Amino acid sequence: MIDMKSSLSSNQILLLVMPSAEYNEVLVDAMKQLSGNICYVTSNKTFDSLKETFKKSKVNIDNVVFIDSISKTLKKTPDQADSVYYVSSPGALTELSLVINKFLRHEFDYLIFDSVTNLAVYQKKNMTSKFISSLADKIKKTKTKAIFYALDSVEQAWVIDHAGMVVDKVIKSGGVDGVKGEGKVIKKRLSKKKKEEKEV
Amino acid sequence: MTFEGDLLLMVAIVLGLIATVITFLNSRKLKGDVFEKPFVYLSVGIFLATFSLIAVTFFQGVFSELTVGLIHDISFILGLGLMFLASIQITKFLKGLGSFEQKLPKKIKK
Repeated sequence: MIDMKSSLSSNQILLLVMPSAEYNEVLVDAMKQLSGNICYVTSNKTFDSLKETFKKSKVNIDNVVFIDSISKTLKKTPDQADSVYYVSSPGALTELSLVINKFLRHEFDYLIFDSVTNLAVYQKKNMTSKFISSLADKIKKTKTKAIFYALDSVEQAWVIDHAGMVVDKVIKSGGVDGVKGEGKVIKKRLSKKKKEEKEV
Repeated sequence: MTFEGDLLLMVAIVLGLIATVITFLNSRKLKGDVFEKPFVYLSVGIFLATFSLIAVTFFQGVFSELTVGLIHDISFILGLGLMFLASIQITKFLKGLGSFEQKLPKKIKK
Protein backbone atom coordinates (compact mmCIF):
# COMPACT_ATOMS: atom_id res chain seq x y z
CA MET A 1 0.00 0.00 0.00
CA ILE A 2 1.35 3.42 -0.95
CA ASP A 3 1.01 6.20 1.57
CA MET A 4 -0.57 8.86 -0.64
CA LYS A 5 -1.42 11.31 2.10
CA SER A 6 2.12 11.70 3.40
CA SER A 7 3.47 11.94 -0.14
CA LEU A 8 0.90 14.59 -1.00
CA SER A 9 1.56 16.58 2.15
CA SER A 10 4.94 17.68 0.82
CA ASN A 11 4.26 17.44 -2.92
CA GLN A 12 1.44 18.93 -4.95
CA ILE A 13 1.55 16.58 -7.94
CA LEU A 14 2.40 12.90 -7.78
CA LEU A 15 2.96 10.50 -10.64
CA LEU A 16 2.04 6.99 -9.64
CA VAL A 17 3.48 4.41 -11.99
CA MET A 18 1.93 0.98 -11.56
CA PRO A 19 1.88 -2.36 -13.32
CA SER A 20 -1.48 -3.12 -14.90
CA ALA A 21 -1.93 -6.12 -12.57
CA GLU A 22 -2.02 -3.78 -9.59
CA TYR A 23 -4.24 -1.18 -11.22
CA ASN A 24 -7.53 -2.01 -9.48
CA GLU A 25 -5.87 -2.44 -6.14
CA VAL A 26 -4.07 0.92 -6.31
CA LEU A 27 -7.23 2.63 -7.56
CA VAL A 28 -9.27 1.56 -4.56
CA ASP A 29 -6.42 2.05 -2.16
CA ALA A 30 -5.87 5.66 -3.23
CA MET A 31 -9.55 6.51 -2.98
CA LYS A 32 -9.76 5.02 0.49
CA GLN A 33 -6.85 7.12 1.68
CA LEU A 34 -7.99 10.45 0.29
CA SER A 35 -10.62 12.34 2.20
CA GLY A 36 -12.18 15.50 0.86
CA ASN A 37 -13.55 16.58 -2.48
CA ILE A 38 -12.10 14.69 -5.39
CA CYS A 39 -12.23 15.34 -9.11
CA TYR A 40 -11.60 12.03 -10.84
CA VAL A 41 -10.67 12.21 -14.52
CA THR A 42 -10.86 8.83 -16.20
CA SER A 43 -9.64 7.82 -19.62
CA ASN A 44 -9.25 4.17 -18.72
CA LYS A 45 -12.35 2.70 -17.08
CA THR A 46 -15.84 3.99 -17.70
CA PHE A 47 -17.72 5.79 -14.93
CA ASP A 48 -20.08 2.81 -14.52
CA SER A 49 -17.20 0.41 -14.20
CA LEU A 50 -15.40 2.65 -11.69
CA LYS A 51 -18.59 3.09 -9.70
CA GLU A 52 -18.99 -0.67 -9.50
CA THR A 53 -15.34 -1.17 -8.48
CA PHE A 54 -15.62 1.41 -5.72
CA LYS A 55 -18.97 0.07 -4.58
CA LYS A 56 -17.55 -3.44 -4.26
CA SER A 57 -14.69 -2.11 -2.16
CA LYS A 58 -17.05 0.05 -0.11
CA VAL A 59 -15.41 3.31 -1.12
CA ASN A 60 -17.58 6.34 -0.52
CA ILE A 61 -17.90 8.33 -3.75
CA ASP A 62 -20.39 10.95 -2.55
CA ASN A 63 -17.69 13.59 -2.58
CA VAL A 64 -16.28 12.60 -5.98
CA VAL A 65 -17.05 14.30 -9.29
CA PHE A 66 -16.05 12.29 -12.34
CA ILE A 67 -14.94 13.43 -15.77
CA ASP A 68 -15.38 10.40 -18.00
CA SER A 69 -13.64 10.62 -21.35
CA ILE A 70 -13.98 6.97 -22.36
CA SER A 71 -17.72 6.16 -22.22
CA LYS A 72 -18.63 8.29 -25.25
CA THR A 73 -16.20 6.31 -27.41
CA LEU A 74 -17.85 3.02 -26.43
CA LYS A 75 -21.58 3.70 -26.26
CA LYS A 76 -24.20 6.39 -26.65
CA THR A 77 -23.88 8.58 -23.60
CA PRO A 78 -25.48 11.87 -22.56
CA ASP A 79 -23.28 14.92 -22.05
CA GLN A 80 -23.72 14.76 -18.31
CA ALA A 81 -25.37 12.87 -15.47
CA ASP A 82 -25.36 13.14 -11.71
CA SER A 83 -21.71 13.53 -10.55
CA VAL A 84 -20.29 12.79 -13.97
CA TYR A 85 -19.43 14.89 -17.00
CA TYR A 86 -18.74 13.02 -20.22
CA VAL A 87 -16.02 14.16 -22.65
CA SER A 88 -16.00 13.00 -26.32
CA SER A 89 -12.82 10.91 -26.20
CA PRO A 90 -9.49 10.64 -24.38
CA GLY A 91 -7.98 12.17 -27.50
CA ALA A 92 -10.20 15.27 -27.24
CA LEU A 93 -7.52 17.15 -25.35
CA THR A 94 -8.91 20.64 -26.03
CA GLU A 95 -12.28 19.65 -24.61
CA LEU A 96 -10.70 17.79 -21.69
CA SER A 97 -8.48 20.75 -20.91
CA LEU A 98 -11.43 23.16 -20.97
CA VAL A 99 -13.51 20.95 -18.68
CA ILE A 100 -10.68 20.34 -16.18
CA ASN A 101 -9.89 24.05 -16.19
CA LYS A 102 -13.49 24.87 -15.26
CA PHE A 103 -13.54 22.23 -12.53
CA LEU A 104 -10.24 23.35 -11.02
CA ARG A 105 -11.80 26.73 -10.27
CA HIS A 106 -13.95 25.00 -7.65
CA GLU A 107 -10.93 24.21 -5.50
CA PHE A 108 -11.20 20.46 -5.21
CA ASP A 109 -8.95 18.97 -2.56
CA TYR A 110 -7.66 16.33 -4.95
CA LEU A 111 -7.55 15.67 -8.66
CA ILE A 112 -6.90 12.15 -9.88
CA PHE A 113 -5.94 11.69 -13.51
CA ASP A 114 -6.41 8.09 -14.60
CA SER A 115 -4.23 7.64 -16.64
CA VAL A 116 -1.71 9.70 -18.56
CA THR A 117 -0.40 6.67 -20.44
CA ASN A 118 -3.84 6.01 -21.90
CA LEU A 119 -3.87 9.45 -23.56
CA ALA A 120 -0.98 8.35 -25.75
CA VAL A 121 -3.15 5.66 -27.30
CA TYR A 122 -5.54 8.31 -28.66
CA GLN A 123 -3.22 11.24 -29.38
CA LYS A 124 0.12 12.11 -30.92
CA LYS A 125 3.27 12.31 -28.81
CA ASN A 126 3.74 16.08 -28.90
CA MET A 127 0.06 16.81 -28.18
CA THR A 128 0.05 14.44 -25.19
CA SER A 129 3.23 15.95 -23.80
CA LYS A 130 1.87 19.49 -24.23
CA PHE A 131 -1.37 18.51 -22.51
CA ILE A 132 0.40 16.95 -19.51
CA SER A 133 2.65 20.00 -19.10
CA SER A 134 -0.28 22.40 -19.38
CA LEU A 135 -2.36 20.36 -16.91
CA ALA A 136 0.47 20.29 -14.38
CA ASP A 137 0.92 24.03 -14.82
CA LYS A 138 -2.79 24.68 -14.24
CA ILE A 139 -2.81 22.53 -11.11
CA LYS A 140 0.24 24.36 -9.77
CA LYS A 141 -1.72 27.60 -9.91
CA THR A 142 -4.39 26.14 -7.59
CA LYS A 143 -4.37 24.57 -4.14
CA THR A 144 -5.60 21.25 -5.49
CA LYS A 145 -3.31 18.26 -4.95
CA ALA A 146 -3.07 15.89 -7.88
CA ILE A 147 -2.21 12.29 -8.57
CA PHE A 148 -1.46 11.21 -12.14
CA TYR A 149 -1.73 7.49 -12.71
CA ALA A 150 0.46 5.82 -15.29
CA LEU A 151 0.50 2.20 -16.33
CA ASP A 152 3.99 0.78 -16.55
CA SER A 153 4.45 -0.24 -20.19
CA VAL A 154 7.39 -0.14 -22.56
CA GLU A 155 5.36 1.42 -25.41
CA GLN A 156 4.34 4.39 -23.31
CA ALA A 157 7.59 4.82 -21.40
CA TRP A 158 8.08 8.24 -22.99
CA VAL A 159 4.84 9.50 -21.39
CA ILE A 160 6.10 8.42 -17.98
CA ASP A 161 9.45 10.09 -18.68
CA HIS A 162 7.76 13.33 -19.71
CA ALA A 163 5.21 13.33 -16.90
CA GLY A 164 8.02 12.52 -14.46
CA MET A 165 9.64 15.82 -15.39
CA VAL A 166 6.57 17.97 -14.72
CA VAL A 167 5.36 16.40 -11.46
CA ASP A 168 6.87 16.87 -8.01
CA LYS A 169 7.37 13.25 -7.16
CA VAL A 170 7.28 9.93 -8.96
CA ILE A 171 6.27 6.80 -7.11
CA LYS A 172 6.58 3.41 -8.70
CA SER A 173 4.16 0.92 -7.31
CA GLY A 174 5.68 -2.53 -7.00
CA GLY A 175 8.71 -1.52 -4.97
CA VAL A 176 10.91 0.17 -7.56
CA ASP A 177 12.28 3.66 -7.02
CA GLY A 178 10.73 6.60 -8.81
CA VAL A 179 12.32 8.39 -11.75
CA LYS A 180 13.54 11.08 -9.39
CA GLY A 181 14.80 8.39 -6.99
CA GLU A 182 12.26 9.21 -4.35
CA GLY A 183 10.34 6.03 -3.74
CA LYS A 184 10.90 6.61 -0.03
CA VAL A 185 7.46 5.44 0.97
CA ILE A 186 7.81 2.17 -0.86
CA LYS A 187 11.37 1.73 0.40
CA LYS A 188 10.26 2.19 3.99
CA ARG A 189 7.48 -0.31 3.58
CA LEU A 190 9.75 -2.81 1.87
CA SER A 191 12.40 -2.62 4.57
CA LYS A 192 9.68 -2.94 7.23
CA LYS A 193 8.31 -5.98 5.45
CA LYS A 194 11.79 -7.53 5.19
CA LYS A 195 12.35 -6.96 8.89
CA GLU A 196 9.06 -8.59 9.71
CA GLU A 197 9.90 -11.56 7.48
CA LYS A 198 13.29 -11.94 9.17
CA GLU A 199 11.67 -11.86 12.59
CA VAL A 200 9.24 -14.57 11.53
CA MET B 1 -20.72 46.59 -63.32
CA THR B 2 -17.81 44.18 -62.83
CA PHE B 3 -15.62 43.93 -59.76
CA GLU B 4 -12.71 42.31 -61.62
CA GLY B 5 -9.45 44.02 -60.74
CA ASP B 6 -10.84 45.54 -57.52
CA LEU B 7 -7.83 45.27 -55.18
CA LEU B 8 -9.79 45.28 -51.91
CA LEU B 9 -12.05 42.50 -53.16
CA MET B 10 -8.99 40.45 -54.18
CA VAL B 11 -7.54 40.92 -50.71
CA ALA B 12 -10.85 39.78 -49.19
CA ILE B 13 -10.89 36.67 -51.40
CA VAL B 14 -7.28 35.75 -50.57
CA LEU B 15 -7.93 36.27 -46.85
CA GLY B 16 -11.10 34.17 -47.07
CA LEU B 17 -9.25 31.30 -48.78
CA ILE B 18 -6.41 31.41 -46.24
CA ALA B 19 -8.93 31.41 -43.36
CA THR B 20 -10.72 28.44 -44.96
CA VAL B 21 -7.53 26.38 -45.19
CA ILE B 22 -6.35 27.25 -41.67
CA THR B 23 -9.75 26.53 -40.10
CA PHE B 24 -10.03 23.22 -41.95
CA LEU B 25 -6.52 22.15 -40.93
CA ASN B 26 -7.36 23.02 -37.32
CA SER B 27 -10.51 20.92 -37.53
CA ARG B 28 -8.34 17.92 -38.48
CA LYS B 29 -6.22 18.52 -35.40
CA LEU B 30 -9.38 18.36 -33.30
CA LYS B 31 -10.44 14.93 -34.56
CA GLY B 32 -12.81 13.29 -32.09
CA ASP B 33 -13.15 16.53 -30.16
CA VAL B 34 -16.46 18.29 -29.56
CA PHE B 35 -15.04 21.20 -31.59
CA GLU B 36 -14.29 19.13 -34.70
CA LYS B 37 -17.70 19.56 -36.32
CA PRO B 38 -18.04 23.30 -35.56
CA PHE B 39 -14.61 23.87 -37.09
CA VAL B 40 -15.57 21.95 -40.24
CA TYR B 41 -18.82 23.95 -40.49
CA LEU B 42 -16.88 27.14 -39.94
CA SER B 43 -14.34 26.35 -42.65
CA VAL B 44 -17.03 25.39 -45.20
CA GLY B 45 -19.01 28.49 -44.17
CA ILE B 46 -16.03 30.78 -44.69
CA PHE B 47 -15.35 29.10 -48.03
CA LEU B 48 -18.93 29.62 -49.24
CA ALA B 49 -18.92 33.27 -48.15
CA THR B 50 -15.61 33.71 -50.00
CA PHE B 51 -17.04 31.84 -53.00
CA SER B 52 -19.86 34.40 -53.17
CA LEU B 53 -17.18 37.09 -53.58
CA ILE B 54 -15.40 34.97 -56.21
CA ALA B 55 -18.71 34.64 -58.10
CA VAL B 56 -19.32 38.39 -58.35
CA THR B 57 -15.69 39.03 -59.25
CA PHE B 58 -14.98 36.43 -61.89
CA PHE B 59 -18.29 34.93 -63.10
CA GLN B 60 -19.91 38.08 -64.40
CA GLY B 61 -18.47 37.71 -67.88
CA VAL B 62 -19.25 34.00 -68.02
CA PHE B 63 -22.83 33.72 -66.68
CA SER B 64 -25.84 35.98 -66.89
CA GLU B 65 -26.33 38.64 -64.23
CA LEU B 66 -29.27 36.71 -62.76
CA THR B 67 -27.23 33.47 -62.44
CA VAL B 68 -24.31 35.29 -60.86
CA GLY B 69 -26.68 37.02 -58.45
CA LEU B 70 -28.23 33.68 -57.50
CA ILE B 71 -24.84 31.97 -57.00
CA HIS B 72 -23.69 34.92 -54.87
CA ASP B 73 -26.80 35.05 -52.71
CA ILE B 74 -27.18 31.30 -52.19
CA SER B 75 -23.51 30.67 -51.33
CA PHE B 76 -23.46 33.72 -49.05
CA ILE B 77 -26.61 32.62 -47.18
CA LEU B 78 -25.42 29.00 -46.92
CA GLY B 79 -22.00 30.16 -45.72
CA LEU B 80 -23.46 32.36 -43.01
CA GLY B 81 -25.89 29.57 -42.08
CA LEU B 82 -23.03 27.11 -41.56
CA MET B 83 -21.12 29.63 -39.45
CA PHE B 84 -24.28 30.13 -37.38
CA LEU B 85 -24.59 26.34 -36.95
CA ALA B 86 -20.97 26.19 -35.76
CA SER B 87 -21.58 28.90 -33.21
CA ILE B 88 -24.75 27.13 -32.00
CA GLN B 89 -22.80 23.91 -31.42
CA ILE B 90 -20.04 25.69 -29.50
CA THR B 91 -22.63 27.57 -27.43
CA LYS B 92 -24.45 24.29 -26.70
CA PHE B 93 -21.24 22.73 -25.39
CA LEU B 94 -20.38 25.76 -23.26
CA LYS B 95 -23.93 25.95 -21.88
CA GLY B 96 -23.89 22.24 -20.98
CA LEU B 97 -20.56 22.60 -19.23
CA GLY B 98 -21.77 25.75 -17.49
CA SER B 99 -24.91 24.07 -16.19
CA PHE B 100 -22.86 21.15 -14.81
CA GLU B 101 -20.42 23.59 -13.26
CA GLN B 102 -23.28 25.35 -11.49
CA LYS B 103 -24.22 22.09 -9.77
CA LEU B 104 -20.66 21.58 -8.53
CA PRO B 105 -20.80 23.75 -5.37
CA LYS B 106 -23.67 21.58 -4.04
CA LYS B 107 -21.62 18.46 -4.68
CA ILE B 108 -18.40 19.72 -3.14
CA LYS B 109 -19.56 21.03 0.20
CA LYS B 110 -16.55 22.33 2.14
